[in-house]
Amino acid sequence: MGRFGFIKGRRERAHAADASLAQRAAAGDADARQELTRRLECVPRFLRQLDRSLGSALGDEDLQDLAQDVHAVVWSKLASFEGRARFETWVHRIASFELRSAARRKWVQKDRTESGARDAMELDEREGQPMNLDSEEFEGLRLAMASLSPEEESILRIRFHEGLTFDQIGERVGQTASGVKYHYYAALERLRRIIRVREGGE
Amino acid sequence: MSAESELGVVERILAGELAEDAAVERGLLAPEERERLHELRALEARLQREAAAYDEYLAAPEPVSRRPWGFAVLLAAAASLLVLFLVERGGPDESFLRDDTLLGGTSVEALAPVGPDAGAYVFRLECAEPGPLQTTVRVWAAADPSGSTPRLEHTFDGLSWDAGAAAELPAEIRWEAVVSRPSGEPVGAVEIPFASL
Repeated sequence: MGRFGFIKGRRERAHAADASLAQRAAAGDADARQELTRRLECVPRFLRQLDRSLGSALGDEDLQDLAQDVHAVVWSKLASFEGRARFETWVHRIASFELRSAARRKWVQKDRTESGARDAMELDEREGQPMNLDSEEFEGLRLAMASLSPEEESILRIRFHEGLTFDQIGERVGQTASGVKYHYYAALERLRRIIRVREGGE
Repeated sequence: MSAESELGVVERILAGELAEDAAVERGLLAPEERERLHELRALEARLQREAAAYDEYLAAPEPVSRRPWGFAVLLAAAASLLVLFLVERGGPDESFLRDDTLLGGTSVEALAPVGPDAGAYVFRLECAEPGPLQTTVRVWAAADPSGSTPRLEHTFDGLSWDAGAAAELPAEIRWEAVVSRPSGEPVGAVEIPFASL
């Protein structure tokens, strides 16, 4: 591929530049944060496209809310971006995961029948999750989480996916740490009961 | 009563505020509550494993077979013009992806040249076929007889959104794009007999 070898080098340089930009933004560099904010304008487009690929599972209002969630995850995970792909590609993966979670929740809560659950389980197959994340263990967990209220699911996701402490979650959602802790354990208990019913015990 | 004080014994143990052994010794933990404690611990561990898998998912390079597929190719009319992102006529805000370059219909759709624009041929191909795909684009000078050596031949493996190629091309071309699976099984093809800058 000799004469096109420069393309690969160009791509790798672009990835490295994105990683550097993300690190600077994560460290608080105002210019870098502004640049990434501009580049995050791709999120609504990603979500609309992803939603269409899932048969327009969500409405415009849901997508707007979801865009906020994607932004929150991107900023919280920014320091972990290593530049193995373009920044937008990485954001696309986050958007894809968030959209599937939201669609799964909507479908499961709207249609608690087996067909609804089956539709939700097919989501990851259609979008193509890596095997590990797509395992039966995790799929069962995500389906159970989809039966929680959005607030309950959110608190568990923030706690585990973003690794925030109760204090940090409290700052994010405007509650005291003790209040967050209470809601966290209530959500965990509800999840345990749902899984017990679904799987016959954790 | 504060929310914190409403935590039960099991929750206080999970939160690290109370030792399990101490709770048992003091008769605070009934057997069924102890079972619930262990189930909740297992559930937290499962959530942690899922979170770790999610981090792996984000850290992994884009797997070819697990992404919507689509790209645009900018073939420069001059060698000094290199590949850009998926660009059509948008301004800076449109410099990455357009909605319709991510997924097309159920078959290959080749819309090209979308340009000429700024002295470049812009090709866009779309495909919603699942699984790994590759596309070979061949470009000839329009004046060349059929079957002559292409002026440009490049295979895109779908690894990158910003795949592309640059080559010196004449002002009048014909081109084709063939989409196939890695096994060689064709998915679709399109031939454009004539295009000009």
